[in-house]
Amino acid sequence: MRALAENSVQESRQFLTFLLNDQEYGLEICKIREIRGYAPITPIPNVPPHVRGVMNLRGTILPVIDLRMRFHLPAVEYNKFTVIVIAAIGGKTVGLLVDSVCDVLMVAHDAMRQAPDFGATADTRFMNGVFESREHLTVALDLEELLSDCAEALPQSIAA
Amino acid sequence: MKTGLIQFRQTFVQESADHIDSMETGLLRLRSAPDDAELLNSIFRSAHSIKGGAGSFGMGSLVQIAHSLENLLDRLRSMEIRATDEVIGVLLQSVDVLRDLLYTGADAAMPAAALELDARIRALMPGHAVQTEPDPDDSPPPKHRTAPKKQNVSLYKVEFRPDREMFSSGTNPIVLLRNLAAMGTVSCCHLHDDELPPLADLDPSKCYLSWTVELASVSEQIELREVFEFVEHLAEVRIHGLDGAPQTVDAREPEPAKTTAAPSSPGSAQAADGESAGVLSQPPSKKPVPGPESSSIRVATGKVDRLIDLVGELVIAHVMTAQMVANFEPACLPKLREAVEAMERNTRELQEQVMGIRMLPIGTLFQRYTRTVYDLARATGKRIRLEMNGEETEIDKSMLEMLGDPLTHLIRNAADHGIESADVRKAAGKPEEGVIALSAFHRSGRIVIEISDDGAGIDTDSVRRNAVERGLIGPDSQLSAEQLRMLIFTPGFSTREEISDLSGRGVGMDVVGRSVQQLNGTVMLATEQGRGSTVSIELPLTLAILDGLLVRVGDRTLVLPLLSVIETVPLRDQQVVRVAELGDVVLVREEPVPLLRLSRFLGLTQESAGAKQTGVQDGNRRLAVIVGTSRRKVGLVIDELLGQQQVVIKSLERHLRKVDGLMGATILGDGRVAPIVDVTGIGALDLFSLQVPCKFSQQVVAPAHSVRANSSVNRETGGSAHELV
Repeated sequence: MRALAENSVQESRQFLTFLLNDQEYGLEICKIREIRGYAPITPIPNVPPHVRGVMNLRGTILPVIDLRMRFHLPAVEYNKFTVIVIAAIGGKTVGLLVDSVCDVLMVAHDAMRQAPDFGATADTRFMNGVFESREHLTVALDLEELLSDCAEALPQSIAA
Repeated sequence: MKTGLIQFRQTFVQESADHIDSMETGLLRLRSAPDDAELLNSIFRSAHSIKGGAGSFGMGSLVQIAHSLENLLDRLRSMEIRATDEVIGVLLQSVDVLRDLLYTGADAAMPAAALELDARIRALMPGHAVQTEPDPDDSPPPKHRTAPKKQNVSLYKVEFRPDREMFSSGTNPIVLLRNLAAMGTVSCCHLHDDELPPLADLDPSKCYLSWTVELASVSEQIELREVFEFVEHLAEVRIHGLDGAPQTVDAREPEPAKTTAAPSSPGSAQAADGESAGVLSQPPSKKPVPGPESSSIRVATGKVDRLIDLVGELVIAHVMTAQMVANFEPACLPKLREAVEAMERNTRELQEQVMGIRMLPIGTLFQRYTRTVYDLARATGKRIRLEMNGEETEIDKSMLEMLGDPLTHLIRNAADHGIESADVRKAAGKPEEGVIALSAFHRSGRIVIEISDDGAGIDTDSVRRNAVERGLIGPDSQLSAEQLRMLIFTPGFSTREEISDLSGRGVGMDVVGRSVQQLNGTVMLATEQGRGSTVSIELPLTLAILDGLLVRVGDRTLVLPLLSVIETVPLRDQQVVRVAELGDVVLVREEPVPLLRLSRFLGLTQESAGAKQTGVQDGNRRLAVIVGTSRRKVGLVIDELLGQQQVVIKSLERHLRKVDGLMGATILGDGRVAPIVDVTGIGALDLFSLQVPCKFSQQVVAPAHSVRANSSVNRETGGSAHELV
């Protein structure tokens, strides 16, 4: 389990990859704060269903988003592989519930392809692109889009 | 010197430096947009704030420059003169002078540059004289215009023996002595240092000194006593007349007395003050701290001591545990458990204490206004008393700092517009002495600060007329009484016709409105004509500690703000009445209180509560916590009371968003997160109806085994950085 493309360092980015319903997704590693095992989450009323609740990260209360539910994937029971990826963006920190984490990959700039056009049938809003690793495709997620969309979906604006 | 006044002065210098900077940038922007009213308003506000603060600290020259500046800006605002380059040049120059005065001992005599500038400002304004005349009594030049009247001089001997604890109240004896000196000519001042302990035993926070001052003054004994009015409970003050009964003196204001103390050269009354301070054998060095100081917190020594104790205990507990773990045998287990418990307890308390450091009693802020009100009363010739309540209410430090300005404006306003002069009050059948009351308390989980006066109140009709005149509202716009009152907080509004030094340009209340908004708070104004007005500022507790009532609903733990809890009643069938299809009501001593099922708010299904479908019957084992919102009472249906504890409020907004019905969340002693119910907000939610709203289902299932995979990702290397399983 080593990263590939170690030659073109300056032209590459690192991605943390994780599994959701057996599909590999990637998030740019500079946005990731840490990875934690599943710990009980306190549900919060009046929030969208994919916001499973809040967790206590060393005194800071963070919302935890279930990415399976976000992507309308079938729900599973959280198990010992379930992991909360703590990601930070634009001053906000969130926990992302994923099935399991896989790897940290170096992805060369030119190895990144644009997200394929699925036509109207698929939502490519959250996709930053795809890249190939170990013979299969990984979807690079756009965290900004993921969270900004999340905010729009809320009944009230995030600003306050 | 370690007194509070010095600290306030530092705060003022810092704040003013910021104001001066923003004035400067504002003025530079004004060059390209000379008609920008909002810009002018903001420059004006800064000048006004500087003037207000400078007045409180007796920085006469600053007040004067700021005042002239204000006058000029006011002309600009009313379009009487145009913002030409010349005008802006003068304005900028005055900003520089303000800054100089602020840093280089602003209580020194007015430097030549400032005087010259003042003249230039005046030259720009034709017919300015009418406005600049009523300078405050602490701005030097006008004092000398009052011709020295022939007075009967009495000799007094004043014994001033401060309490040991005087400094802790933020009182500076030298200021009092200086004020005393200003009342007449000091012939003799003895410093009694006999109580001064050896240096090793000296507690620098205690006052060991006392003074005896002999002075000749035209003032009456009562007036001399007024100098010590605010320290009467902190010091022993004895005033004896040395030449028999004090003669009748017709001078109402103490100013004329100053003529005896002041040297003949005009414009240096401040220097005279300095001299008298020298006479008082006190260290004359009272330079303002140059440059802004980095943000700091003053913490009570008790708190720090407690922290050190706790850390000590924690270290001991840790050593104990480490030893036991090192030579572990099963027999140690109970002891180990004990040690871990002790450590847990310590840690928790440590956490609470550290959190508490950020919280300061609001009294530290209120104290400042004692002086403000005193000065205001002197400047307006009114008799005003400041009452304070709830000084111990703790408030986040950052909030405390931001409240300084708005409260100053409110108090200024109350003193200037609210409280009437003694004659008017007497005629209205009120006591001659007006009262401004400052109080702070928690209400429904918010901090409320009230500034009330027993003055004239606000005439909503004149508010309306005024707003129409100033073009803030149309002549025939329909406004409720509440809306009319809130007009006071719009920029450019003032109900007073004549402009005084203290307030009345309609900038102050605008500052209040804005600052409170910035703090996510609300301002309310209640007023009754002839009886006074009350401004309430309600602030959220962003980082405040709250007394919480922990309750269980289903398998959840919730926190209710204890302050809004009125009582808890067991729910029995006969008390619960279903009102049509609208919801259930419980009768508490014949009073119907609507019931709100917290389980429904949380989206818990009825089964998880283990009850039958009918809402009424499942009430058998349950309790209703009756909470009072400002408008009405609501009964919250819960399963169990878990106890009460102090909780630290954590914002949900920071990382999530504002959640209706919750004011935040807290972390319980065991690390779990518990939502804190916003009692006011939850009452407004439509949760009374009987349909079970389809919130998300409660499906978070605990994992079979807990996973310990919280290793952080190594960002430098490209390799796999965490091990799972």
